[in-house]
This record gives sequence, C-alpha cells and structure tokens, in this order.
Amino acid sequence: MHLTAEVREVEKLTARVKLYVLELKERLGSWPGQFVMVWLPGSGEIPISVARERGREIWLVIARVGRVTGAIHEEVGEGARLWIRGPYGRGFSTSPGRHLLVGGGFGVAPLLRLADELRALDGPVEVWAALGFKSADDALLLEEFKEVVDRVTVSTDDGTLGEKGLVTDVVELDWPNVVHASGPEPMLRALAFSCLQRGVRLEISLERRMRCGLGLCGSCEVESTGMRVCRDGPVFDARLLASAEFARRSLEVWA
Amino acid sequence: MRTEGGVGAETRPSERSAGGWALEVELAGLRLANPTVLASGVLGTSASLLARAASSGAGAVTTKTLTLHPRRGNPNPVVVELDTGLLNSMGLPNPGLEPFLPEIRAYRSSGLRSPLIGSIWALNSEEASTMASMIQEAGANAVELNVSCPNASKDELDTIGSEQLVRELVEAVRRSVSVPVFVKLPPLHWGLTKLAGAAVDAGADVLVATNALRGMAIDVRARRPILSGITGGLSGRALKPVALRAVYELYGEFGDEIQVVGVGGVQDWRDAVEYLLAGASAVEIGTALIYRGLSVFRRVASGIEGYLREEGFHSVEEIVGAARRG
Repeated sequence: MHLTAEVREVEKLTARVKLYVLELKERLGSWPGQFVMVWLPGSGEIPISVARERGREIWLVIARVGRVTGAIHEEVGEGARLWIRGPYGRGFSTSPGRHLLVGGGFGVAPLLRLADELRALDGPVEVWAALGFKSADDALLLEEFKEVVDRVTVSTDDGTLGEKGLVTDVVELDWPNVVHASGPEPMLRALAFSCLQRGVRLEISLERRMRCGLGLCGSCEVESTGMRVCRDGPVFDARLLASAEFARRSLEVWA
Repeated sequence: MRTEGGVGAETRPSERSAGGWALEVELAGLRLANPTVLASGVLGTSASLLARAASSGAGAVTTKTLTLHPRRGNPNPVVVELDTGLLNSMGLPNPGLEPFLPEIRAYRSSGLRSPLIGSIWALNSEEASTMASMIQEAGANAVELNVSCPNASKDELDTIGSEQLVRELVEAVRRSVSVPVFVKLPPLHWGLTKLAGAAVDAGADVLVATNALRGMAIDVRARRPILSGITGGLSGRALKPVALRAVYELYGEFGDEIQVVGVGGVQDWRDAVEYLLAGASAVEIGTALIYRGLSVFRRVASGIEGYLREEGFHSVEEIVGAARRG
C-alpha cells in the first residue's frame, strides 16, 4: 500500500524541474540511489529517485518529462499530498575513500543523497562532484552539493557556467577509487567507456520505463541483459553491463 | 540490500543428488530437472529474463501471455502490495506474438534445458490456432492457453469463461500443434470441473490451476481505487488455499487422464509439497520472486528434495496426489 506524504515545500529549480520536499508519517529509510514510486491519484505513478532524506522528510527532484510529471507540476503545491511506495532497488556502494560523483542535468539528484551519506561516514572520505548541464539556466542543487562535498566542478555545453564542454570531457578519472554517475545515457556510456578502459570502478544509475517496481513484470529490463532496473538496479556496476547490448551501444558512441 | 546472482552466474541444478533422490519430473512428456516452473506474467518478457530464471533453477519457464496483436496494457499504478499477496492489473501488455518469436528462438538456442512454455491469449479458434502454430514453430516446448486472465476487459471475461469457447479454443490449439497443450484455469468456486472437463475433452494435456483471483484495493486518503484498471488479479499468499483446493478437486476428477500443475502462493518447499500432495505434478512460482528473489527456485527444489529424503520417498512422482490416497 502507498504511504501518504504531505508536500511541505515546492521550489522551482529550473524552467522544467521542481524540488518537492515531502513529509512522511515515519522514516522512509532509503539507501542512496534507491527510488520510490510516486502516485498522483487520477494521473498515474512514476519512479523518482530520492535526492535527500532527513528524518521523516524526503526530497524528490521532479522534471517535467511527461503526462504524470506535468500533472504533478501543475496540480501539486505546498500543503497538497502525494502517495509513495518504496524505497526500491539497489543503490550506490558507500565506503571510505575517494569518491567522484558525475552528474548530468536533473540526473544529479540521487548523487546528492549519496553525498550526504558519504559525508556521514566514519573514516577518511573525500568526495568530489562534477556536474554538467546544457546551460547555466539548467544548473540545479549547486549550493546543496557545495555544502556537503569537498569540491564541485561545474560544466555547461555552452560555457555559460563553469567550464565549457561535456562533463565527461572535463572530468579527471585518475584520482578516485570509485566513480558514481547519474544522468543522460550518452553521458553514462561515454563515462563507462573511459572508466572501463582505465580500470576505474564505476557505478551508474539507469532509467527505464517502469511498471511494477517489484522485479516481476520485466518492463524495465536493460536490453538483453536480464537485468531489471527496478530490482537489480537502478545502480549497476558498469562491468556488469560491459558484455551486453549496453556496452555495444557505448562503443557505437565512440565509433 | 538484496543480492542476486548475475546472468549465467549460477550453476545448473543437480538433476539427481548423490543420495539418489530424484527431483526430475515428467510433465506431458517434457522433462523438468525439478518441479518448479516460472509462472506466466513474471519475468517472461524476454529471452534473457527467461534464461535468467532457468539458470536460477526453474525446471521450466513460461512466457508472458502473448496476444496476436500488440497490447499496451494499463497505465500505472498496476500493482498494489498487500500483506496477503499482490494485486496486479498489468492488462496483458505484450508486443504481439510475431515480434516476440525471436525471443523464443533465442531462449531455445541458449543451451538451457528447462523447457519453454509459450503462453497465449486468444478469443476465437482461428487466432488460437494461428498463434499456437507460430509459437511451436519458433521452438516452444509446450503451449499454455490462458483462458483466465483477470485483467482482460469485461467483454473478454464474459466470453472467455464459457465452456463452449474453452472447448473450441483447446480443440483449435490441439489440432494445430504436436507439443503438449496446457490450459490455465481461473480460481472458480463453482463450475471449475465443468470448465476443466471441457478442456480435457478437447484434448488438453495439462491443467494449470489457477490464475489470480479478481480483487481490488482502495486508498482511504485518496478515496479511490488504487489500480488504474480498478480491479486486478490477486496472487501470492492469499491465493494459495484457493488454488490448492482447485488442484485437489481437479486431480480427483481428472487425475487418471491428465496432469495438473499448481500455481498460487508458493513461497517455500512446504507450499510446494502441499500442491504435490494435492495432486500437482509441478508447481509454478511467480509472486514469491518479490520476497525471495530468483533463488526461490533452487531453494524450493532443494526443500522438496529434503522432504522426500526425510519421509523416505525416492521421487517426486511418489507423492503426487498422496493426500487423496490418505
């Protein structure tokens, strides 16, 4: 059954992305990288990764990409309710060491949850975030990242903020023990190629059309791998997908 | 965090253990390394997922039910998790039979020995006949005629429930294929043996009992049904006593003529053994994958083996229907 969540705060982050701060009746208990299914009665139900969890409060970054997200943007304001179930899926690994978080667009959201978790770890932890956006107008959550990570690098395709270029071109891969990435798939494929070539451990968060969220219906299989985004992911070790369709397509990107 | 094995990461289940307790069963001429079967509607949407279930220990695998033409299915929400099971209203989403055939071919050429059962949904004998031939041609080891999807439209449900149509559909499929014909039945309170009788008379080889119960859930805060399809199929724990009763009745009525497969709420070996004792020759597993993951097949199979050993039996066949013999 769904949990009823009160919308405490809605903040417009960019022209098409809003932050929803929800309050639950009890702690959600999510792991970084996990997602919840968000139901707006009368509209539909969609998977959204948890961007932050503090006590009974969770942050959801919702981009307007379709019918349901459009309805949420239009109908759900402060004081309204959303229904959620979860958390679901396997998230990012967290252990002391040097972590590089690579995010693209509104895909940076689950990396904030990860950054919070890494910051709270016992032991030596260094966290850098490389965040890429199309343009300065699309940048989001920069202040939040700056508060919790040791260094933030921003890049934009058009050079209106930070370095000019793709985040995958400006990122330094010789430094971290592990790279965690979330964002558009071409970005993930390019990163997978670079990391696998250098032998750098990479965890990527994938998205697919999702239905049950429970690992039964097969809707969210990563093509021809037998891997379900909702249950085996959404975070995958890039090596797991290296032999499959995913990797063949990442090679095509570079061909 | 749940950990599951990767594709092909696991070894094959042993077909005969060192002590000589055989888990292998024969189902309408098909050889299953153990009596667990991946139920239709769960992970049967691609060759790679079918292969994953088989390499995780499923003795046979069933495809998602296919229709002749593509179906989008219902919009989300399509599932509700209950304490007693799972409600789903997927609505038979599938790409249509023809686009799915390469998946069947790919599975069959994967080298995995678990037979593939192709599940189809048709509303007239012409469609049923065409689909059954095509699916056999692609390499399916058996055809399962689904005459009980709880998420079909009301018109479809009104039609599909009739003995006359079941008879026609089974006859059509029987005429079109040489592989075994399975018929998946609904969990009826009354009239189940009549419907099953029609299927048996028409030449079915295996009765699969049962599909999900129709049910619904309402969110009290939203004050509306949760499923976009309003009603859905209730599977899992709540279905078990109902489907177990169905298997017991069907085995009693038709056990001399054909085999029965039990499906509904199997989570561990004890559930599976209950079904076997009631008269099932094999058990299907679906919803339990939520709670137990893909290792459920291997765990149920080894639990059955342990039971056989403890009770002094040497094969699964020995206990099939034993609850009737007392």
